[in-house]
Amino acid sequence: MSEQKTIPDNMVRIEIDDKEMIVPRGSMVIEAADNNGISIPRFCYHKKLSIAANCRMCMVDVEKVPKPLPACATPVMPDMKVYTKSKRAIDAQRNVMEFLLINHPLDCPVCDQGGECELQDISMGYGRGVSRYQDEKRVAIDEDIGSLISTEMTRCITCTRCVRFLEEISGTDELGGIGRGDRTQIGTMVGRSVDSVMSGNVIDLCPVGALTNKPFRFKARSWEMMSANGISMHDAIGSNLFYHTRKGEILRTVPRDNESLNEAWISDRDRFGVLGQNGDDRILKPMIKQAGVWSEVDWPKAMDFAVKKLQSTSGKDTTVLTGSQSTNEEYFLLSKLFKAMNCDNLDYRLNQSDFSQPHNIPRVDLDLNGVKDNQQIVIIGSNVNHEQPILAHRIRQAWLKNDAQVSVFNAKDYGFRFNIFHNYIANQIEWVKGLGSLAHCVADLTKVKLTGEVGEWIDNQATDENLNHLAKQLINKDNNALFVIGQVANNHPQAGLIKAIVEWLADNTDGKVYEMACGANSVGAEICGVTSNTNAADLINSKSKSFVIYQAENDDFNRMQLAHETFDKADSVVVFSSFADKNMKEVADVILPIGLASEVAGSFFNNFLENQKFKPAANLPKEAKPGWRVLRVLGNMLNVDGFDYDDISEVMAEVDALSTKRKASFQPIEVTHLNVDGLVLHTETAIYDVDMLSRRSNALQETIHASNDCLSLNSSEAEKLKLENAMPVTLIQGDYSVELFINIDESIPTGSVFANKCVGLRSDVLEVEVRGESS
Amino acid sequence: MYQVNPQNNDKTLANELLTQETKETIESWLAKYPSDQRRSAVIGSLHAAQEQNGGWLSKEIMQAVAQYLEIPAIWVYEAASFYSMFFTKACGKHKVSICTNISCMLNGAEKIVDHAEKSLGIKLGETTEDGQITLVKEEECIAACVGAPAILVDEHYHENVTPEELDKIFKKLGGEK
Repeated sequence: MSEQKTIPDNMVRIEIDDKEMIVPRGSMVIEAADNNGISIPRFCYHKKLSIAANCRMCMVDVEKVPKPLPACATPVMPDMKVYTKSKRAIDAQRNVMEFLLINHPLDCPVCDQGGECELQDISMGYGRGVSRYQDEKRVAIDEDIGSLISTEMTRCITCTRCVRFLEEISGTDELGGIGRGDRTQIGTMVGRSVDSVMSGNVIDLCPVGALTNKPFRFKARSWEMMSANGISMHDAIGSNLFYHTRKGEILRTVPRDNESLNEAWISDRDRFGVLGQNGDDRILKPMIKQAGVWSEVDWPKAMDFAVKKLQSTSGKDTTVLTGSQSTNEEYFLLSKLFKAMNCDNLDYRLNQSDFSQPHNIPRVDLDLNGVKDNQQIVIIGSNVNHEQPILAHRIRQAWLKNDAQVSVFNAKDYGFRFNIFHNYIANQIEWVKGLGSLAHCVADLTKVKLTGEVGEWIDNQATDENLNHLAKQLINKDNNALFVIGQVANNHPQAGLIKAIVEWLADNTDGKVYEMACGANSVGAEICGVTSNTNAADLINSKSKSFVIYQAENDDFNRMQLAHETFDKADSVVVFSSFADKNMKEVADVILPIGLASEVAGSFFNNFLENQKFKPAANLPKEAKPGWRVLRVLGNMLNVDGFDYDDISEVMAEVDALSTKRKASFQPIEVTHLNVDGLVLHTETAIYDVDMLSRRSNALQETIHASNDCLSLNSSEAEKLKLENAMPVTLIQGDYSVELFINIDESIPTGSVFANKCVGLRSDVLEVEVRGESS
Repeated sequence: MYQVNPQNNDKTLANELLTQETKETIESWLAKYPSDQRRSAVIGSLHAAQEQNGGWLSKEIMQAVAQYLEIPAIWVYEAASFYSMFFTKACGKHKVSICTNISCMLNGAEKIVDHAEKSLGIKLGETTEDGQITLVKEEECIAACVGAPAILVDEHYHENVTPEELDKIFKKLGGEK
């Protein structure tokens, strides 16, 4: 070349198929080819996983090298010349293909992967028309690895992508290569299931039909389906998805790559949660209740009925409560409609109990890609792995790749898949005190004191050596600190105190805060104004005459029984919902069937205030209508101005114009002092109980993470109470009691009992009594 | 690859199932490797566990070894299933491995196999009814080509084996009842 280009030190110049490119030093040939649009066949290589180089499919020809080399494990060298289509490369690829097909069944028509199978595709390009192999093929016995993934291990080509995913990304090490040589099989440690909350990703990773989507099995072929963009409906990461639909019905969900959010992964809740759409209690037609009898009616009649109900009470006497998985547009119109009717009783924080801090947009000082830059991460009151599995994955990667040290303040040892630096596990009262001690240590070290009642409370907490050690690390100027607050903290009776301490800690250690939003779109509800001066707990306790419940159900409330009683006593209850269970039908007067976020156009705000828009992926079932249309018509019928929208884009434009600025920081609060004699209750919403969809997804409910009717406590507590595993007991919380079964679990700290919230418990009353059957 | 996941500190099963002697053997293996590479001790540990467990590795004892080594259970199972000297199913007290690799095969290993199968009335991979002898299936080269055909009886080498000699060995093994 006549012209000498200057190449930076960290780059090298190579040629692939005579195409010149400058690529990072140390990268592999296959990466260079992928980034420059040259395709090399591969099975085991995946950009997000470690390099195994065991399928040998990506053989390429390199100049001056006597043998073909695997492109995935060959680093680029200066002036390297690679040929991917030369005779030697193609021969090598064809030969590997023939060997891979030796033991692989040749019955694509009966395989669930047929039509979207990497092996099938590549064998079209590199395979022989006829198999020369005459001998017996290897067969493998299939294992049952749970309700989400179905196995057909005879089809496995042992690329080990699934093994590497579970080891490196999910961190659960559940699959391995069992046996040796041609008899190697991918399997579990004898009869275990794969229980990672991101396990579904191995379905996408598997290049063949060995691991397939169990609920989707044999439902459709890939070419029969349409693909539609979607956004996660279950957590505020806002993972990007593709819904695969046939005739307007969502059959499965797969991830849509988004490097700044979910990378190439999605959680199982995002993958299988949408299957709840076909729940038995889906409302397909508008329904009204007259004299205690439900009847299905047409829309005009139902709307008239609803309008009459709403007009019978003044706006001041109406309360509006919503869940956290509706679109911004619905929240916006809901707020606009009822605020125009002088209603100042709106809230979306149904599961929260301490409202001493005013409602606000959750504080998030960084984006997901920024998580890895923090050397000190402190998780406060959160089962992050269940609340936002993608965040847990990012924290894990920070620990794994950047040696971040992760500390935890929790009421249960959740078994995170990273090592814990300081593990402060104590009952619901004590861990908050531990957080106070940490703040005390930081205050002593920095000589900066927090004023007011919170400051006094912190001063009263004893310091200890371990926490002092952590405090030193946090204030170290070389360390970036990140404080992650989750739902255990958010629903804690001292939530305001916890947040005030964390805010102060972050400011004093130059740290950042990541406050996890509840559900998929509570951020949207906040921004769109489904808020008022009265909070959800007071509203549930109020004597409002009329209630409007928007896409929420009994299980969404902190005080389920009280909510039910209050609705029961109210003059009218107007429900907008996709589902209505028995409880809802008992109290509602009219149920207007609206679409799920996957069935309507709209947008979600995620934790990072990104407003992600989507179009309807699925058809609305029967007579259900998009929520925003129902609200629009209702606005017109109630003669409220500004409801003449023709298209959702007009509502979207108004949502876009809303301020996403967080209100000023936390205000001084009064400290709630907690004192409990005896056992302290820790209750939280299970991973697959977070919203109406996940509760109805059978595949998820059959996993081990689904909620159960167990009362967990550790063996020393069980011994004290003379309780044994599986023993029936009665748990009494205030005037509510529930029958549960004892589960001895060492992850529960001493002095604490744990139960899922869905058994009817509330998270703000910590005092409980456990009564054994015999006593 | 180094361990990428948090170590499991639960040692209930390990303390319950592993004897003091086994634990000491495992410790001596662990001492030979860097502290962050506990996986390296898996083979030595499995030998100790297998000896303790009467010549084979049950699922529970493999889990106990995993707990003791603080590594994922699947890693232990991978190693146990890979090597022919580990037995993941219950087998006889004595293991007879007849090498059938190239040198031994050329020197008549097949005859030895035939003779062993006939005289014991079992196939390779099976155990005699009295639970005394297991014929190990498909033993690969045991590095005794110089004395082919060679067999391995409970970690002892016998070279230039003849059917007559085999009978003697079996008699001795059976006689120890």
